[in-house]
Amino acid sequence: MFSFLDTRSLASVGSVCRSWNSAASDNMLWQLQYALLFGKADNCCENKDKFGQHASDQADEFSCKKKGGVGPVMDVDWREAFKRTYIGNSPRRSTSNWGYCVHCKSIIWLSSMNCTSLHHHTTKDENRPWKVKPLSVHQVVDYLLGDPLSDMSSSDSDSDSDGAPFAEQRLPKLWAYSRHIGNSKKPFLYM
Amino acid sequence: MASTSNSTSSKIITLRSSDGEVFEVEESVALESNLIRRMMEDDCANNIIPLPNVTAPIFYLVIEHCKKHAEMKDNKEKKKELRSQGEELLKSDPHTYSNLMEAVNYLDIKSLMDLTAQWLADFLKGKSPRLIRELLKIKNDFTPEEEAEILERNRWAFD
Repeated sequence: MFSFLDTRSLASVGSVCRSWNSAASDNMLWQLQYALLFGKADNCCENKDKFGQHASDQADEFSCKKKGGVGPVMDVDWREAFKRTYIGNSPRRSTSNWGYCVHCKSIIWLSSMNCTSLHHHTTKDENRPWKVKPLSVHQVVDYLLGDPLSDMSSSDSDSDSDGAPFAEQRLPKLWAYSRHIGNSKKPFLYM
Repeated sequence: MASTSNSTSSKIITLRSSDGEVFEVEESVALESNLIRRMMEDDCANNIIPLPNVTAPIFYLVIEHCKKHAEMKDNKEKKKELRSQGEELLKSDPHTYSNLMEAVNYLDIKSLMDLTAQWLADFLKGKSPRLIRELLKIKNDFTPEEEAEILERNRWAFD
């Protein structure tokens, strides 16, 4: 029955009683959740290319393990793997990503690589998605600081203690976001 | 004694619920249960088959569902009927519904298991642990510390 539940409900029913908690902690359940939300670990590299989605580095590790047959699949703590990927890649966050548009050389918001509503030229070139490259948060921050603010950030960042507060003033949300992501093991690799 | 048979051509299987009530069920219906099927295959079912984990009212519901499910294979109306009946029971008496599901699980009726589980899962979606306990009459056997720890451990899913 638990296999029909969504992530939140699954986490919720785990708090009902002991037996439900152990049932809701079942490794297979979380593997299923992982496959449903992020694609099968076996295909996660493929998904990454196809949809521009990113699974966590850990998931890549898992799939390599699985492919190479080095470690048995049961060794994987799928709940933990799901949690890591979910935190870094929750639908709320991944539906709005940044992308670099080759055409107008600027950063745009995109939804699952189809920025049809945002950019006229991409609607014409839907078959050539490389015109919009997805970017990591760090790349966006670099772009924003490096391009329009290059003169200030390069001179101020190390010597002046005002460097960081300045950036925070300008881009409070971006910085908060990038730090949050930075807490997970590695920055995400989109490309 | 509750008889659910209305056909003379089919073989009748006799089953006894945990509270001692005896049911006569058509073989085709009884065989929906993999548990009963295995018992019959192993020849443990010459006389009355005991079902120690299922009470009479629940078993009656199971049979009813089984029959409807057998009929619904080629009948959309029956399918609707079964669904609305299931949903009604779920709304009016979720506790009995969860007992029905447990019985279906115990009797190993695969077809019904998927259906009832899907409905119960839909019903539980978005409900708090406290409400679920209340509706399904489940006792909270966590200590307050354990409960707090589990809530903390699951917090990432709700952030």
